[in-house]
Amino acid sequence: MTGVVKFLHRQFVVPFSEMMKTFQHNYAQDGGYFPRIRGVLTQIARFQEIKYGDHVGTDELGNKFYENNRFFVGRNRWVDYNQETWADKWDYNASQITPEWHRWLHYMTDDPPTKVPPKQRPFLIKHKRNMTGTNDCYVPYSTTRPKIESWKPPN
Amino acid sequence: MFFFFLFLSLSLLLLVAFLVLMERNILGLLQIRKGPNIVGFFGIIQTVMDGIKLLLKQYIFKNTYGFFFFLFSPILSLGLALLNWVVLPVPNVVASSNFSVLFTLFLSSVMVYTIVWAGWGSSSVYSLVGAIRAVAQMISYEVVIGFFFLFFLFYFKTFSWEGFFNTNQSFYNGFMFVLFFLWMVIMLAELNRTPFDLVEGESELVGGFNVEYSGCGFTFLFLSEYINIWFMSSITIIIFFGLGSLMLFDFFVISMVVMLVVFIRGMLPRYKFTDLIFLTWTVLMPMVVFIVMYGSGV
Amino acid sequence: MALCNVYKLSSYLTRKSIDLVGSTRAIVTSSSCLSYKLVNPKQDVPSLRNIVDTNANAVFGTELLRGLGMVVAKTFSEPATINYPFEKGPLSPRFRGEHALRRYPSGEERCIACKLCEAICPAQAITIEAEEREDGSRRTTRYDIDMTKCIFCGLCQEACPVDAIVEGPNFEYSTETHEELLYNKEKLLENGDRWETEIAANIEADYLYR
Repeated sequence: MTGVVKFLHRQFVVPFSEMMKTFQHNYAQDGGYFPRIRGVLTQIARFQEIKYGDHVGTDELGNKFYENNRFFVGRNRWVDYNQETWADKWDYNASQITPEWHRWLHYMTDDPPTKVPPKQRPFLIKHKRNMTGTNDCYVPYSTTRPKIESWKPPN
Repeated sequence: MFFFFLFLSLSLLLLVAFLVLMERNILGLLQIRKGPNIVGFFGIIQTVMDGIKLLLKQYIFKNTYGFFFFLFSPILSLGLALLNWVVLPVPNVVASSNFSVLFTLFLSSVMVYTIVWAGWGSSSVYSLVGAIRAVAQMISYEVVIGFFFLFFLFYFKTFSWEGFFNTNQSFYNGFMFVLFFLWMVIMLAELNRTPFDLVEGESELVGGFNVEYSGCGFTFLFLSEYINIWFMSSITIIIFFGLGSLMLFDFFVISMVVMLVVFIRGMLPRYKFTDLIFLTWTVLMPMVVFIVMYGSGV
Repeated sequence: MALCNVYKLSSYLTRKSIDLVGSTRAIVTSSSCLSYKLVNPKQDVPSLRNIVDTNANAVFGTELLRGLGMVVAKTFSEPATINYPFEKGPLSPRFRGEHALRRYPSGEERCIACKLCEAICPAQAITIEAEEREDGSRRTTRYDIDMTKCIFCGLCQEACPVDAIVEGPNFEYSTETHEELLYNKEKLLENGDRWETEIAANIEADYLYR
């Protein structure tokens, strides 16, 4: 009897609750028209699928990090890119992730920086995404004095 | 009539886009990965975009003696693939004929010329060798497919595809399974699909007769190949399932046959060329001749 | 009895190895040749059973059907695709990505211009020029890495005596132009300042092997 109940629970109750959790996870937070449907559709269009998970933390650029260990390694940690760092929400760049979260997202450690805070140094600078293709991109220049200096006539 | 054919051609192009997308997704599923799922919504317009990109590409001409054939063979290939549908009663018959089976056989024989011209007109030895091998394969299977149709012509005593509907009712028996298996082998070989896709995978995936093609020409050859898949699947349901009155159900069954072809691509390895020719002339040919003799009552 | 079997086996293997090597070297004593084993069952005896089995398998297409079953089963399993850039695959702490020049915790740059990395670089991607600084310490004035020459072998970070040049964990630095990949000292120091938290943590995670 308990076996039958367990089977029915696994076949009907669990999928339904998973679906409801997924929908709740993907609600549009900013209200507006039909936030439930709109949020899910937006998430599908950006992410190609919808998932739910625990919100582990947010980095200083506003990217949100989630974890759900129901998925296999490689898919159980994911990032929801900040929509404000770019012009619109369809543009995102993998180099947006800050180094401390990069380490966690790439499975080098199991401790997120919210749990084990990284060491602060005075010389650390704020993370920046890959700026190629913009006006702020890196342009190489020489860091040495010129080898040949022009002769200046004595006054 | 003409407008219906135009409409049919356009829908066929869309069907090809749909088929390529479906094939890529199914192959992805078989190999535990995802297919195209980014472009558009769930990758729906991926193949349409690919097609547009291919058509807009620069078409590289080679100024050689085979220029005319090089240019003309993709157009002829696509034209023949579309012309095949004129006599086929599956969506709706455009030009009714009492000898439509012969017309189909005629067109599939002429289609061999496009491959010869494409390979020879490319003025590349590699293309030429690929074309010769492809033509050897196709001609061998033309013979088999001709005899195979001959059985049905004897059995149903008709030369038109419409005639197959009227006399199809008493045909469902165990013998049909053998015939269907045989037909699948012949069809795959005729379509140059896995496990007989030596034309595509000549010397393991460099491309055979069509290595010199790019852009428009390649698109036309590709389109004609995939239109032929739909065509052969339609012939399959005409011969074996006797459908043709219900449009939607027809289309469903045709899609099932196409899906089977795609699944076989994910399932089987490629044949050797010698095995392929050996299989034609020593296994399939005697079997088909025997079947024809049975059908004609000799 | 067991000893007898061992003897028979060894003599069989010896004969087998001689067959494998060929007739030019009839006596083989090396252990690698003796360790060849026949794994497959011997099928070359055409018994009736073998013939019937082989032909039955061929006629009924059992292998085809098993292949079809395999394919259909795999269709329903979960795809192993990772949804990059939202999900990312595992990386090692030793991953050799974009280069960076590190600093001491005080903020002083580590590099002392010993030019060991320049010497060891097999692709000759590193160019260093050194001068004396105002306080008398030896520092680089030029530290250029041509990232398009670099083969990411990691020899520079192994050669460095002060852990100054490291290959960090970043691999998402692709650029639209060639020039942007010709890194100079300022760019490398900036990389170090940006990725220092992760680089330091990775070096710490690897302390047992350093």
